[in-house]
Amino acid sequence: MSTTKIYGHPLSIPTRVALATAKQLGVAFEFIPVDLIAGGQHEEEYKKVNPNEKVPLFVEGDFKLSESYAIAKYLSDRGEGTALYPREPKKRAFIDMHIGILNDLKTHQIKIVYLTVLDPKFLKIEADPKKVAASEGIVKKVLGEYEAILSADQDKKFVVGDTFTLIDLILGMQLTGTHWIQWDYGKEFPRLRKYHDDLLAAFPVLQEQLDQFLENLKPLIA
Amino acid sequence: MEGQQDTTHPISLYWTIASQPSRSVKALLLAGAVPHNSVSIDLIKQEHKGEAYLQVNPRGLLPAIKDGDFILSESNAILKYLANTNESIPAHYWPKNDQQRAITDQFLEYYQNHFRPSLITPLRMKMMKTLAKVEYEAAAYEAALAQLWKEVDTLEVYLGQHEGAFVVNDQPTIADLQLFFEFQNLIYVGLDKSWETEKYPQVTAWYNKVIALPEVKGIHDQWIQLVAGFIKMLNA
Repeated sequence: MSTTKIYGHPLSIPTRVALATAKQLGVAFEFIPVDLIAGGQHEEEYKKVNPNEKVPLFVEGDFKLSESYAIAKYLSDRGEGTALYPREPKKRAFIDMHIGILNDLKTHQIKIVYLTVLDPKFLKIEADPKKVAASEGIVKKVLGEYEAILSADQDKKFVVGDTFTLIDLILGMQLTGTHWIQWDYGKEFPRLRKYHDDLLAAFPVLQEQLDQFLENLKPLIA
Repeated sequence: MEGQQDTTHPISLYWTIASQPSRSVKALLLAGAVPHNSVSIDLIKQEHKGEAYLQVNPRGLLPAIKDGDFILSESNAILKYLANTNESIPAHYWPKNDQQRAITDQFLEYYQNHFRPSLITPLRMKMMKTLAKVEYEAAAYEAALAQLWKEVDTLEVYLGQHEGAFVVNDQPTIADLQLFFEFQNLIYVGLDKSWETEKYPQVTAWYNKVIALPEVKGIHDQWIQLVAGFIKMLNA
């Protein structure tokens, strides 16, 4: 029985980043669902293991690690390391830089989901159009930057260098997250759409995560 | 740009002391006595959005570094790159042990995604009011303050969870730098005056240990002198 656990929610994209990384690297784990809608992340038992009251959380024996991108980096770098997170200092620095930028994308995608889907549905709170517009602006700005990077070369399959790295795994998952608001982002960002389609075709783990995500999403936004 | 880039040193730091993540990078360079050119970018004059700086960092954000031809932005990435490539920077700042490194990284992510947004919002509201005459509702400010204190509560719990006065272990890491320089936002909005040591024994002890580090103290003293007038204006 595995002592490795990943706590999270099936509809949380940050959770899916942790799951996708573990699966891609063949790390065995038990998934422990946390009911975010019922406030499971605020319960005493969970707060003890993660004072930040957020998902996902990675636990291996006594070792506890939160923050999805930190979990992804840890799994990709421990021991001998993996191709997902190259160790050459400049390449690694570029990946770290993109992780910083993708954090902005993640944060504002999450804000839009709460503002336009979850709060109206569960808390009966109307979306504040100014806040939505502000977050949409940042999402489009960041996606625009990646559209530009990838448009420089129509055959470019990966953001950093010419191998699949954490950046592609994370960006791929963030693009999957657009299903929350049923946004056909390909209309505005066609090069990103092609990039995402190519990733889904080449990496079964990403396609599997998308399928599971959509399966869980359907009943919620039906 | 003050201190135009010269070739005396391979590394140039584009920064301003008013920018919290810039202070973290500066502190790390000082910790390793890493020779570098300091290029000051004036935010008030909008230099960060000007032609010259956009050539360096098209995203128009601070800090950025140039190491020869290699340009890097995003403070967490810069801190890690500098630690990885400068042996003079004490190794404890970016642990080599897998799990210690991961915990340090967790706190860097926590800083970017949660701590910084919570700690900066009251300051931004006061700045918008003071500089751009944008009013805010009292309830909105109270909510922002409540979120700030909730984050300080979380830091108190984190610090109490392990042995060692710093956030990862018993030696400072780059996570302590980021958290510390962001924590100073409390001073900006006058909350240092109502600080309750008894309520936050861990955070108080942590703060005192970090500020005692020579590489931090120097920058802190310089910063507080420079922003004294601004702080008065913000809280008038």
